[in-house]
Amino acid sequence: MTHVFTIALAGQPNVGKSTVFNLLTGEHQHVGNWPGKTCEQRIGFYHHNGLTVRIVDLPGAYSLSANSEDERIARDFIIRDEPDVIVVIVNAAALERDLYLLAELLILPRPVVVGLNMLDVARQSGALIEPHVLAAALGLPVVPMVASRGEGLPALMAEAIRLAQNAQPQTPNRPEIRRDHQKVLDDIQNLIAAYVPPPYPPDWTALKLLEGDAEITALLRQQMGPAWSSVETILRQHDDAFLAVVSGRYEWIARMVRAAVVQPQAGQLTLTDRLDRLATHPIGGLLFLLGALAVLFWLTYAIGAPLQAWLETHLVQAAARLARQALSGSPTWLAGMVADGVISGAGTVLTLLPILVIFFAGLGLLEDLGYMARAAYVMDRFMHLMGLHGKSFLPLFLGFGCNVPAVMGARIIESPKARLITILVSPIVPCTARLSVVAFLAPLFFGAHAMWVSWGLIGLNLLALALVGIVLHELFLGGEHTPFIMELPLYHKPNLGVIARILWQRLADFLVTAGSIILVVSIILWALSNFPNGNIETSYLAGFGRLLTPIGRLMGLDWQMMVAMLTSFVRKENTISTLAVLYSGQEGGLNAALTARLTPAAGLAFLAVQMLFIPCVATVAAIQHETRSWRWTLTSILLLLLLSFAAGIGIYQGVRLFGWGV
Amino acid sequence: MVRGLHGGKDFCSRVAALGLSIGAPVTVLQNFGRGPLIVAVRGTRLALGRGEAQRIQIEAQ
Repeated sequence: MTHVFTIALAGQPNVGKSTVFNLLTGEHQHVGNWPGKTCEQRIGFYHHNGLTVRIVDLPGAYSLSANSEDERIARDFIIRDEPDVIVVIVNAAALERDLYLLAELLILPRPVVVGLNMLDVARQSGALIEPHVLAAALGLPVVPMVASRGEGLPALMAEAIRLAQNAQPQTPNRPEIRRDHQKVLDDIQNLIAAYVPPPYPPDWTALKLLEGDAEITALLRQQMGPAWSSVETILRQHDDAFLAVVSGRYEWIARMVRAAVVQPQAGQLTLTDRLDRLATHPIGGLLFLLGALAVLFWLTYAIGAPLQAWLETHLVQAAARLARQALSGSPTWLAGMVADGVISGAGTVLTLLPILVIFFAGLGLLEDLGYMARAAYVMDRFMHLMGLHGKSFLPLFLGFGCNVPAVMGARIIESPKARLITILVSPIVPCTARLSVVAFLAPLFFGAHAMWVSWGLIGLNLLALALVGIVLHELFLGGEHTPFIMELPLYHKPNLGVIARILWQRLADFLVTAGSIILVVSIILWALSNFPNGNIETSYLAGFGRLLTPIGRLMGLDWQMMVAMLTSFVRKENTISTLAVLYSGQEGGLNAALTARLTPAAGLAFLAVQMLFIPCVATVAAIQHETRSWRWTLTSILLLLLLSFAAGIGIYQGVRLFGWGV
Repeated sequence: MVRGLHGGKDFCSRVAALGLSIGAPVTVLQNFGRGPLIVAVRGTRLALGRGEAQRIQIEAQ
């Protein structure tokens, strides 16, 4: 007989919850998004004795107070989806804080099992905890665990399944509001009882009203209509009630901890303290961070770049050659479309892989080590100048290598608005592909001064990034200061298996969704530049480029330059190959044609537009993949289109105004 | 020890869920110049912006 139970896996951040989830469900996982949210949703299946248990991994939540999107998702799932059992993982080494989520959960009428994890860490710090005493004090099953070594997982699931099959309600020792507010709570509960809409439990709702929860307050105000005013009066008289609720919970925690912890942690200096002296030092920490990033970039160039080149010549170009041979009997446009459209599009996806693997493995490792929070701490003051969060630094820095991991790396930022701002500014970071185009073209226009021009262009991008960041921050958050409060978890040995699985899931997911976008766009652009008669100069794309002549003229650019810019949408490096084709009729080849046709002012404008132009299709696909919104994806394209043309026109007209480079 | 929390409900609720509730013993681990701080509270370490830290009233013991 097969039964499907649903178990919600809950816990505060940094309690080893993702390790527990991965060990329990292994290959049987489904990764998606929470409905209507950009937050990753993980659902897995656990099979035992012919039973199938569906495990939903809730986002890490410190409380059920809806302080963040993660907490709102966790709370909505527990209340609305009514899982059969809630498994709460707590960190034994920080019991005094970690039991807070449990204190909030116990008021909801759902069976709870506590997984007392990281007992090894607690033991190392000198604490002795007795799980059975904690179980007796809580009135709940408590399973001792060391998830990093797989200990306690079968017992945890056995206990959860037993609870799911057992219809008897639990009678745990619940936290109570501080005694001086008990009557107020009762009064409110009586007033609202008839109005609370299911599935919200009335006692929980009353407590949330006293805590001043904005979402629940709005809900009840709407449900109660005129009856709300008496509740509002009570709430206004007791606006300190929040403190009574919170201290009631912490007093309850203190009682539990007093009972179960035989010997408190010794105040010795831990490994984390010693490492943090360096990693969080204002100067030492910066050097440490730069060192970590240098290693990541070194790996990219030492391993990633050669691998990319190898894939390009041995797989992509070889496949294109084979396709041409195989299709030699068919119409030329078909062979062209397969070789230059389909295979080159697939090649773009394929050659992205080495860089993505290296960056994501590196990020996953740093995150699992517990270092990411330190990096955010060290960078926070600089990023705040741009209205960004400290955590935005790492993904943006990765953008210098390639914008795709920058966009995808933004998911380490918890706040959805801050994440969106980071995603939107990511394509402004000059990636190596764009820098290689500049490195090729700048010497043609500026000779010995090319290096200064290149640095100036990079500076222009960083300036644009800061400006766009500040403007978006003002627009989205009204310039509101996002509070910087963040837990610094203990350092711990990374779990390579879990990192590898998460890496693989993200890559596979990206390849499927983004890969198809890249492929389709490659084929469309190939068709536009080859139809109607197989010649780019008379193609639809060229026609479109000619339409852009009035805008081009403002920047001193001819239609060929505009077409070259458009083809860079597939790959930034395409600019040069397109120019080479379009100017191939000219005497002296590309170099001579460019210097003859473009004034230095126009050359500078062209390079500035190239640096700020719409992101390449892979980045666009990543933006769509991360925001799950075509509206934001198109906003990003439009934003950069306007920004790049404004910069190009501004530079060309400005330079001419001063009479330089004409 | 934490004496008082000053700020909106959202701020207080967030800080309290992270362990900084009234009566909680706090140790300041790092406090350089005008940058953010690191404090130890209830067995965990928290990074706090200076602005946030100024809204948490502490009594020395």
